[in-house]
Amino acid sequence: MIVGQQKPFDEIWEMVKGFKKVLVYGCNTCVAICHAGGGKEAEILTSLLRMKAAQEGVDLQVDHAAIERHCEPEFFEPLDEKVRTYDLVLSTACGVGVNFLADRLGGSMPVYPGINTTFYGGVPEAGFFVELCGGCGNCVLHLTGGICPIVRCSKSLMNGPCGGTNNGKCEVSNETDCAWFLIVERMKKLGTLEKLYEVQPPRDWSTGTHGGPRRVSLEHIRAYEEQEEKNAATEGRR
Amino acid sequence: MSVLSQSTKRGSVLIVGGGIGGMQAALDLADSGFKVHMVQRDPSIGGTMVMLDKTFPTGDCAMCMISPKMVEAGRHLNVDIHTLAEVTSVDGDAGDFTVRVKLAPRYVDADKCTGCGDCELKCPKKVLSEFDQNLGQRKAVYSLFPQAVPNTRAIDASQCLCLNDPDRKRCRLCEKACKAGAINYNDKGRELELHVGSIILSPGLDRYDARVRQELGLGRWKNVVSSIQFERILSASGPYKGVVQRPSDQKHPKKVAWIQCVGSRDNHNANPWCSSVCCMYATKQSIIAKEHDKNIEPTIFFMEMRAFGKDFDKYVERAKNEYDVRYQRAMVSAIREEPGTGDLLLKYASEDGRLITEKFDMVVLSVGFQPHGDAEQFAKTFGIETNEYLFAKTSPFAPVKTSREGIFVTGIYQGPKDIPETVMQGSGVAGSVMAMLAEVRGTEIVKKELPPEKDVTGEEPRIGVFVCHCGTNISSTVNIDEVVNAVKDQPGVAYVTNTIYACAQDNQDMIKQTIKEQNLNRVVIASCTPRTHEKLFQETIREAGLNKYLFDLADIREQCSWCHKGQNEVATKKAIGIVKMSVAKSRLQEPLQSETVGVTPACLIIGGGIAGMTAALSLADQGFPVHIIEKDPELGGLIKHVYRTLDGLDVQEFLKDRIGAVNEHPKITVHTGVEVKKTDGFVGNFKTILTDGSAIEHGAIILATGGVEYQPTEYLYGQTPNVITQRQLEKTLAEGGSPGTGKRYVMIQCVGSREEPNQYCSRICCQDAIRNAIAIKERNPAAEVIIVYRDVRTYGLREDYYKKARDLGVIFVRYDVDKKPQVEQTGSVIQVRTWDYMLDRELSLTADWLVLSTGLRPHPTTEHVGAMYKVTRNPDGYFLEAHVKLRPVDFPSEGLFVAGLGHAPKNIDETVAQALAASGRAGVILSHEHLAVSGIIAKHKRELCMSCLSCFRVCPFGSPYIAEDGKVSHNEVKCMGCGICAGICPAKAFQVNNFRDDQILAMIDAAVESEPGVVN
Amino acid sequence: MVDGAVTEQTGVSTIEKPREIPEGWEPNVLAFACHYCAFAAADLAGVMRLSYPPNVKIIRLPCTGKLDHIHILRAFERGVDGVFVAG
Repeated sequence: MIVGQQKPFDEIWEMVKGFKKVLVYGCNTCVAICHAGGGKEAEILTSLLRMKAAQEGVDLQVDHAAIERHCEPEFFEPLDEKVRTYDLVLSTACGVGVNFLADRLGGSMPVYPGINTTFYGGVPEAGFFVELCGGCGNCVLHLTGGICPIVRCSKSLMNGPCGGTNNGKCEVSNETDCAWFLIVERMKKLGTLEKLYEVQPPRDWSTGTHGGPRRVSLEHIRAYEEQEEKNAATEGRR
Repeated sequence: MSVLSQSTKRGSVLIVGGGIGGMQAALDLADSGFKVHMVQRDPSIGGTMVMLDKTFPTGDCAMCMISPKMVEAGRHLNVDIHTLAEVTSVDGDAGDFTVRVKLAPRYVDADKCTGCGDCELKCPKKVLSEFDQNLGQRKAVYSLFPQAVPNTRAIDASQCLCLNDPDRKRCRLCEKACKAGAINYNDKGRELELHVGSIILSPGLDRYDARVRQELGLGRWKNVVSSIQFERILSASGPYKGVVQRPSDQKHPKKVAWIQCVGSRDNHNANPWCSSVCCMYATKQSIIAKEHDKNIEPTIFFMEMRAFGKDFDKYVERAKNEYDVRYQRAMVSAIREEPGTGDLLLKYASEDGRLITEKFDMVVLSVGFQPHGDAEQFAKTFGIETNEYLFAKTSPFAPVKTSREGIFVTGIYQGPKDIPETVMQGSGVAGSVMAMLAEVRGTEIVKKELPPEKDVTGEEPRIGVFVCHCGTNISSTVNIDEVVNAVKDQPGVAYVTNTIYACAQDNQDMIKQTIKEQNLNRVVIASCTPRTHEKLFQETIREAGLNKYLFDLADIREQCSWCHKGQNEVATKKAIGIVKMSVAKSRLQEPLQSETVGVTPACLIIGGGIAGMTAALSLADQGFPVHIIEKDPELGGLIKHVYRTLDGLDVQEFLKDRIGAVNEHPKITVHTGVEVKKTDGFVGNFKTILTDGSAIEHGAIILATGGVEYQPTEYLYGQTPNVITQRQLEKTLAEGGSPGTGKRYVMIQCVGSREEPNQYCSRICCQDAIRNAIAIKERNPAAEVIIVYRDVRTYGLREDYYKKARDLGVIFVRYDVDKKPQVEQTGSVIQVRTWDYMLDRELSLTADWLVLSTGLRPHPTTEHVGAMYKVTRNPDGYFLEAHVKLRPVDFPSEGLFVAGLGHAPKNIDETVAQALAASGRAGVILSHEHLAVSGIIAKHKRELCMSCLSCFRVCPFGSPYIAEDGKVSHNEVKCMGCGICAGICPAKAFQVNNFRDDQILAMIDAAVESEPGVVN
Repeated sequence: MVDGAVTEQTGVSTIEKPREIPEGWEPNVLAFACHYCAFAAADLAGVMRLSYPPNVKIIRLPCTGKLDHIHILRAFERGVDGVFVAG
């Protein structure tokens, strides 16, 4: 799940204060689950902005809305027209949603981010989120006992811990477990410790964010969609 | 049962005494099909607990906990409360008693009195308040305390000016003040004759009058107070409004001393028993006092710290470490007042014998319990036997049964005990009565016939607003006409009127009439608090055919007129605001249907020890099928290794008898050698699959998983045959083993208890040691017994045996946890070295036998069972009950109950009482064909839900769950309507009925609209 | 608020504008109280006839856990000067 956190209010205010009519636009998927940018948080932020505007004596209209997901076009459609009546969309979706909507609006109006998109994480308990995957595009979890060295090791080391490992904790912070300590312990339990003797070669980071924007294209599904379109066209001709 | 016996039993019960134990029994019985008559000496029910400020070890406010119970008992259709009443005779036999009750004149007609209190304000006669322990004042016409139930004043005939005038001409001010005409100076009282199937005695106890011990100075030195006086001092509603101050000069005391065992554990001028609660309440009072005023330095003078209950030792440790409470092991011999200052000089001997005089600002005497002055006559009236101290006589195997068939006892009249144990016995006695009167359950209860409900869906709101004067209680401060006028034009309001007393019978009829005439579909009454009156008015509108949730109560008395006296203009403005808020909410109200669910009338009990078997027999006698699940191949549990109780009863005989009864009972099925594999469901509808594959459907579950004994590793145990446990010694003694002359038994207490990581008292070990010590001394006085102990915790009436052991020559040597005894073996000789604090030097004892008093642990299965039923356990692994004071056998999730050692260490009599309590609580559920779900619950909109699990994780009742399709769903039967789910849900998928967001927002808007000049 | 719909425009006109504090001004306080404890305490204050300023009104909740951010914000938006949550 994508985890985000609302930006500091002052930062948001700096973005918003010059506009006259602002829509706070929430996304009811990942960022709602992490209590950062769903419909509820959009409403809270709206209220705070209205009050700030009143305090500052700025004439500002702020409304809020939310849709199921900010990363697929169909969800936006019912609100498109209304959205265009605003001067600014303050999106509380993740960065994906902000990009997506900004592309969709094609420069007709600005879309600003209300939250910082933080990481891909799990929710081990209510209100607690931890980063567990770096989205590197080249998964090695089968080699590391299911523990990701890319994000759970502060240095993203691939061949065992550094000298900063300290009784199972990381030198960066003693609240952080040393991922390589966890990996060794886990692989002992799994009985696969010998796998660690295999030296991992220098990593090819091009599958990650270092190789330019990534795409996934599922041809079988796209083909199906193309066929549908063709059929519709044929039927239309009849 | 024969037809004859069915026809002779009565389905009603008399409860004598309306304290917390009596109330618990009354509510359990009335909720499960029995008519209850409650007789109470005082003008209000409540007993001792209502006088307390807070309760240990959680620091909960006593009144906040007990008040809803009092209101519930007071309003219950099947509980008749007779106050200022005493039983004068009891005739007949079990199943059909005839009881005569004498009611003293109240001089206030309870049918007419609305509880407004106008009379009290006008009464000119001030007297010392017995409720505030003479530290405050009340009037001659009074209510015992503000939250009294019934909420009807009474006139104290000994103080009233009019009643003391032979011509009845003086004063009469209260009569003039009462708009309801409820004052009746000619009241003569009356007599009642009741026919009941069973009688429960819960008269409570009196407190020792510490003035007897003149050397301590109560009544002589002003700044010496009794502990119950100190409770009132701490209470925010007490004489000093919660400010800790000295009676003599209102100075805030710095050094405060508590003196323990005043009137307890003392054969001279006092009582020999231990009162069981004083160590803990002194600890509590010192903590609370310090919370009120951080400058207070508390010292507790004590003989032995008896923190034997669940989590009590941890509480005492907190008092020491976090609140700097000083515990001084010493008896104070005399208290003198320092002339001129009001300070107090305490004389005591330190443990090593030095004489010390220490100055304190204030002293609290921790007074103990004792039977009421008329206890002998009381027992005679009911024809029951007492023990030598005039407590009701019971057996440890049947702790709530008196000597007379059909008459039961609960609470401290059976022996000193604290609140949870009293509540346990209350439910336990209810369970016993349910079993005894099973076949006449439901025969004498009153049921209300209601007209069909009018369908108002789709109708525009037509709100009727009734603004109450409450005599002059509201109208002397709030201008009622102005309120009426201001509300008239509010949207949705169809009708507004005023009324003198909305709650009086004639006005109730008027409201019902108006609903029909004006075709109202919602009602707002502006009067007093919903906490006491909402249910009454809800019933009123329901009787007029409206759904009861189409009602709102605007509190303009407690929260307006009463606290803004003399500020009529602003108070009126506020009242208008409060009523407008109610109207705004009412406009959005919708009829709510209370769902009902069927109940499978069977119970599953996990654990076949004494707790499980006792609960099973009681429930089976009530007529419900019971399944006992025992993982061992045979019934019995831990008690299989116990031979005698402290008072010498044969435990094995008792166990054999129980096992026989269980095996013979046609309603009980015993499943041995199996465990629970899977469980599912909710109150009334559980399904459990056992490891042998059998499936059981049942409506309630009792977890009686029991405990195990700690297996010691310390003090050479297991390394030499002469180091044994008390249980092993008990076995040898039971098998006739005879202690040799001159042989020395050294016993070490608290082995594996009361120190980290097991910082709790196992409760049974002191008694085990003393029982075995007595047995040794009785068999051979020439054998020696030395008990090395930390605190001897022979609480309650068990203290007798401590004394007996000392009289027989058993030697007690105290040790401290920092200086634990050292045990060595040289050859065949065991040497125990320990520090003697009296001699102030080390003792070296040679022991022929070293006996270890090992503690208790929860049974290992507790963890698994707890996880399966999603019930929490405390840090020591014991099940955590719903509330440590008032719900000691319930779990937060309904339909689940706990009994026995799985809950906490306890003795056999306490286990039996808790098992009976579990059977009583389960009986309440199983006796219903259907259970009604409250209307005020959270509604879950699945189409909005994102299954983020926030609700699932925070709900204290486990009502959100992950459904078969893998998404979150909501079980409304388990929901208690707290709305935590609604507060946390990021999708706003939850709304609480009648507290919906739109309703709350409408109230906020209304609250602001009514303050013109503030907004816009 | 319903998914997929822009809410009604509720802001602007009802928001209280900052202004000078007039003489003799009293704050308007709204309290959210748990039915079981704080609401009962407010009742007790009345029963004991304790006097306090009348500029506070109470909204009863089944538990303060029910309280929502938006309740507090709405109160402030409407010009309430203080919110007191007790439970």
